[in-house]
Amino acid sequence: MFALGSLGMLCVAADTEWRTYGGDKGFQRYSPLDQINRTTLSNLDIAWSRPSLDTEYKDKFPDLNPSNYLRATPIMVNGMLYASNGVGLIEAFDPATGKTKWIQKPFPNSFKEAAGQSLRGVEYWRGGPGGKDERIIAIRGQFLYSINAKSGEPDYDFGDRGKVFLRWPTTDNVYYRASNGPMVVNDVIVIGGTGGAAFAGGSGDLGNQKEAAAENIRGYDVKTGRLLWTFHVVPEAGQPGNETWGKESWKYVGSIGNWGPMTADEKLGMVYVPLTAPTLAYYGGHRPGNNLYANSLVALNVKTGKPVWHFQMVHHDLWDYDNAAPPVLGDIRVNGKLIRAVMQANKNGFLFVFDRETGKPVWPIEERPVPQSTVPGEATSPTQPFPTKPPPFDRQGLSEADLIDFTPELHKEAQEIARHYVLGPLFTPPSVLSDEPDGKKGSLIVPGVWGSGNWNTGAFDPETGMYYAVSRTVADVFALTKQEDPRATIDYTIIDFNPEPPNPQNRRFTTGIPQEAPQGAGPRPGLPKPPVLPSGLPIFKPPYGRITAFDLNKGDLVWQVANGDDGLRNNAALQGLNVPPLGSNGRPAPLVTKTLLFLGDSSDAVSGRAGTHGAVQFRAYDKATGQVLWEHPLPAGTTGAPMTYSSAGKQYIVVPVGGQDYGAGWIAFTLKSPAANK
Amino acid sequence: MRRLIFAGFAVCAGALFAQPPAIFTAAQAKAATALYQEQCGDCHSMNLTGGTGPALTGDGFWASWNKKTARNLYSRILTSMPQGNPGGLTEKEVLYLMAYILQGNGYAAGETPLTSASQLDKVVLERVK
Repeated sequence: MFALGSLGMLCVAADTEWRTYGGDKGFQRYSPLDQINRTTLSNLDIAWSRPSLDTEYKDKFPDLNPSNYLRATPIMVNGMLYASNGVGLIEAFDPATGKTKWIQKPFPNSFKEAAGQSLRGVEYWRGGPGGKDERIIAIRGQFLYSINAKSGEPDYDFGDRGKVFLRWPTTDNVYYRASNGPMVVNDVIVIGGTGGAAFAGGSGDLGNQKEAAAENIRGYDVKTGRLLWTFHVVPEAGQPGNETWGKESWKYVGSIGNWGPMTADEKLGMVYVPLTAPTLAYYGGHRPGNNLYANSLVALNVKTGKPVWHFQMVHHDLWDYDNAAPPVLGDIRVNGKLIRAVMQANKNGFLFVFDRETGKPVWPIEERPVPQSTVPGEATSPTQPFPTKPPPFDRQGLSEADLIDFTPELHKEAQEIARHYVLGPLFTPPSVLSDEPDGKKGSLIVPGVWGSGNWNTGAFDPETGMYYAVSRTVADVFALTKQEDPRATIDYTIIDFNPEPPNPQNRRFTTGIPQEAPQGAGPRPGLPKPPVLPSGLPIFKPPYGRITAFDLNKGDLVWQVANGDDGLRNNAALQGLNVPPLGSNGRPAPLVTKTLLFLGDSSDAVSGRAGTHGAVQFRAYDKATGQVLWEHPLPAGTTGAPMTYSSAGKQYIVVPVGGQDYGAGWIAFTLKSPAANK
Repeated sequence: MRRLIFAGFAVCAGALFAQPPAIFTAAQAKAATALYQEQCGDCHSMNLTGGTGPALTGDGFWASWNKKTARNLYSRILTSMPQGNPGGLTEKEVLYLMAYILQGNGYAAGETPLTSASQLDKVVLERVK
């Protein structure tokens, strides 16, 4: 024992890796590393920073100007960082310096092939004789790639010379879209993604046509790239769940993509797929029924692609309440019994917790009556699922009591605005925009379409059973209008959308410049923005962004704090008032370590009408209490999740940043003096 | 050094033009309407005000692009748009889209068509009052 200890002291500590962009296949976003702790935090400083794309590469293509929305969280494996860089190419860089080792070569080596966008993660796979076949698997544009993890060269035996074409067979030839990376489970690559319809950039959230391709889940052989299976997110004729689509709507409905990260239990051979809303969720008169597998968590057998169990978080969705968060996997102990759990946050503010092998809820989930729609033709689900534990992690619904009340004047302003809308509890349905001068302008819904918990929410501490939700509080106006346009195929929708006539020849793949604007294609307003006070403040009380800690051994909320304090604090209407922390209204993602919870302010370059402009803070919280222990300025907000690893005995924390007026890159923190590394 | 010279150009251009320079024709902006609607409008909205994607006019747009060169905006679009198919637009298409976006931000059309990205090098974007 003594000899082993001495030997250990003589050796350099082995690196601690971060092998998937969520930390592990269960997306715990957790590391046991503890060199950076509450005692050493005062010595934590920037170790290196680097742009999202190596400068030499940019010199090669001067017009290569990456987006400032750098989604990518690197992985760290075998002493190398790998990430989807600013243009989506796999880039390998040194964990101690950030210097580029190699970049995936576009083929052909042209600007067109080099252009692109980052994704949130890449995957590492190791197999073959002696485990010497090491690959990085990534999605870029329309393709799934496999490249050699050592050299960056394509794996020519994978697909078509190293890549597989991913586009859906849609009627309008819309592009396949992904935000996250692939998930490799044992020897199967599982792919989600969106792009079932052209409108709203492929997300299916806007428009006035209800037809779209179902964004099915696909499994590919990791060695060959061969398609192994397809899971139909809209069950086909004869499949269970097909009957939940009334009026034979299953024949044409679509979307229902996997937009949030998926997770996997490789021992169980199961992959957990969070699914989103159906096309144009705000009206469902054409699709009576519960509409499986929309808004469901589906556990698939990764070998077959067959569902083992599923749970639908929202029946017959009318609110765009996606399962956008990763279904986090972790073991909890409830009443003395060990449960291998999966924890799925929904945009509606609930965290659903199940036994991940059986799908049995850990705590009862009750079907409770909900408000019913008054929109002609709509058939609201009479009930919706309500978890009895844990409690919601963000505001649900809107009432008089929720309106801002820092001063009587502000409260009166909020009341004056609110009276024009239908207010109500969670699941208050959209309503028709009134023609009357003093009629209702629709339903004011909280959480809105961008909240509350999105892809960013969720981290799990396997030592304590704590789950950390990161959410934002936003409202949206759901005002439906009757679609009189003869080209519309849906009776009501949320906006006055005036599309061009559907024409597959004129969608997405046009390359020429039309000489004339199409006749009759008038302006198409965007999603209505939520009303605010004349001063720009939200009409409801803060916080507008929060962190919530749940003890999932008990199902209890342990603490909840405002996440930061965004620019609204400087609002003129709040000056001189004793205002609590307002919370940063963005989508930052957490990192949990042995004792700390790291979270940065969110960037204004992140989609979703949120984020903080300009310089912001990166913070360390005491994970047991939510107290801020440390903060460090960042030149711009975080655009993706932080990660941590150790290299040559030093712990690093790396986070992607970028802003509307700040070029994107990664920033690495470490302790600035060896003496502090105790 | 190249960057310093580039910045010098930018300052000169900003000082020279009390009004934004007319660098595209009305016909170009009009011709780009359908292309914008098809490739951009679903995310950025048909009137440039933003939706799932950022605004291309107003405060949100100018927070990003004030004092930057038009070439910078051109190259950003060329590199990262459209969302589903970055790099899928030709250089000519992006030039037309620049005409459309600039006109939507109050830039006046002129007699000289925008035919080359190099014409954007010296143009510093500034909000039209």
